[in-house]
Amino acid sequence: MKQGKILLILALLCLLGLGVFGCRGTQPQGWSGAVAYDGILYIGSMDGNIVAVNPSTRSQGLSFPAEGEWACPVKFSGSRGQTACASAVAQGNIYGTPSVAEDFVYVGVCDSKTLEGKVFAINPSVRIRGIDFPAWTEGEWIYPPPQISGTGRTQFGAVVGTPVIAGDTVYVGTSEGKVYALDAEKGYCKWQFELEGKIWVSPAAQDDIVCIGNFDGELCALSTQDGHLLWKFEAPAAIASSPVICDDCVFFGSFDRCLYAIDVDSGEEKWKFQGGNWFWTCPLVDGDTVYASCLDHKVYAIEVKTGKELWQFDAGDPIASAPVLVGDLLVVASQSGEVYVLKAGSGECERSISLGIPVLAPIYAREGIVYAHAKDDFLYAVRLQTGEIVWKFSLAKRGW
Amino acid sequence: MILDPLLNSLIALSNVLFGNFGLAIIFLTIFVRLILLPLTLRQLRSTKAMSALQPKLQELQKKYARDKEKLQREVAKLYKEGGINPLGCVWPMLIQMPIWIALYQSIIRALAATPENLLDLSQHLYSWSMVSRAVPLNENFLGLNLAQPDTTLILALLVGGTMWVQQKMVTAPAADPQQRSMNNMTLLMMPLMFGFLVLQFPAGLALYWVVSNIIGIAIQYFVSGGWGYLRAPSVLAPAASGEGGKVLPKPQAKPTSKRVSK
Repeated sequence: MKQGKILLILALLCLLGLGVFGCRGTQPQGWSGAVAYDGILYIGSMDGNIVAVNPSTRSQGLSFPAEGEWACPVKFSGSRGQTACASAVAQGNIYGTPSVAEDFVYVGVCDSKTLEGKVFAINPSVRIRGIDFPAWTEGEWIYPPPQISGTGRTQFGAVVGTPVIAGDTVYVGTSEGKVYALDAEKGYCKWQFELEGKIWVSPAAQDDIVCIGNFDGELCALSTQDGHLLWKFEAPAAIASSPVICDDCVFFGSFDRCLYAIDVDSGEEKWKFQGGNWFWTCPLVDGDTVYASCLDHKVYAIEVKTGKELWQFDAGDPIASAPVLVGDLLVVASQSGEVYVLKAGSGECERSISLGIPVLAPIYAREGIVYAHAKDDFLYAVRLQTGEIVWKFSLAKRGW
Repeated sequence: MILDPLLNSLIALSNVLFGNFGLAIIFLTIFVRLILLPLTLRQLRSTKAMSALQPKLQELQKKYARDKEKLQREVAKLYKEGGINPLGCVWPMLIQMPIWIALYQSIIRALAATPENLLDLSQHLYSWSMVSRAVPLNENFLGLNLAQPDTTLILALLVGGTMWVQQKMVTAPAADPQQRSMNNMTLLMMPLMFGFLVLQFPAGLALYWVVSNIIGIAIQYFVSGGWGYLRAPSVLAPAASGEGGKVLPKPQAKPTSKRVSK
């Protein structure tokens, strides 16, 4: 009997250990970056809200919402495939940075439990008035629309990347492996193209080409007119780094630890650069230099034409956040919460600012201030010249 | 120390097995169980020896029901004479636990169901090209999404059922009401709890549990020479049944016909 009790206690400890260690690994939160439009920053919070933040009122410490500010929750209701324990209305996870065009904010969201996604078009002037979302008559929309989603007729996968707007079209990739071209004004689907592998990246659009990569290692170039395939490049491993198109080249990173440069017209490889781990973020191109941050703790500056390394900087921790250029300074944040200000020409570190909280979201810079969305769901505003944290603002629980 | 080698082995194995992660889970579970077989056998033998002592233990409990100190001394003497450590079945399990937890953690990490998981995975992978190129893994197996809980209840029933069978095979029926109560509670609670938890965990983890339990049943079958106490009644008749002190039925090696009382 004593043995039975001991075994029972051990078994219960084992179960407790399973719970403590986290049966599902890291919980999904999202890592949306910020984008500015007309003096307002738009960003996705980790509890499923699109938040409009006015830097001016934040620096004055006014209560939220102040002038121009609002929060809009993104919800999934009646999702398929949920267990009986799940709530009927679930919050969305926002991984992509919102896009802004023609006074509208576009964002892709996902429900990590059911792997469904949606694209939201939000009218800030309506949000300020506090009208329920979506205000269809004011131009707001959701894709897929509620009357279709949840009926089994449309499977719209999770959106992990950022929707990209080119002209009057919103381009987005989903985890079901499809690329959608949505009408920016009305929200209907103009065309869709199906790839084999899951898409967790943002597309890149230039002129009449839109490029996107997937987990099967395929980088595809599609015609913006009707979505037909122009060319396909097959990398040896998955692509989780969003491509960037600059002039005649597409740059992207792959899970074979290489950064690739592909000719945008032919799809032929120009060069590839070997790193020490995955190139996770979208590369940044400025003139004849491409800057790529890598999970091997380094930022690389690489010559656009030849793929030759110009310099590298070791941040000491993985870099999952896309860097940003401010004049001749390159700003990059590491997963340990250190923000480094480097000279873009040499990689020399001018200063480092310690936020103390991991940063996974892309950072944004404007008018001498760097905005970093850290893992504590605070938006930090850091003055570039001095490294001073001007203000920080909690994005959590703003819309519920 | 254990997690990264297991994790990378799992991913490499998946690459070898035509990108089939479900098969990789099955193969690695079999491999880990084989490595732990000496410990498992030791545990089972210890449990078996303890079960064989049950009649004598119950006699002692009746004889010294009012003298706890004397009972403890006699029980300790009985264990010593039989060369049995009462915790002999426990420490092999304690040694195996970190390995099981590492295997279960490696399955969770390898699946990388969310972007955060995938990002975290990058820091645990070796530089083998067959590993980096295999990620992210194909999470589909026999109609299941290994990264999501199985909502069909099939895996929950399989996990609970196999766990119950495995426990029942080694749980001797008891005449003592308290012992019987403890046995029943253990027999029911663990399968129910794990069956319920399976509904919350990714199906890949449930697959590992099912395979591990089936292997455990097979090992038990060959060690015991049969199905053990699986078909024994859970409640025994009292010792004063005129059976000459043989309270426990022998574990059945083969299916037998019913005994007809005279």
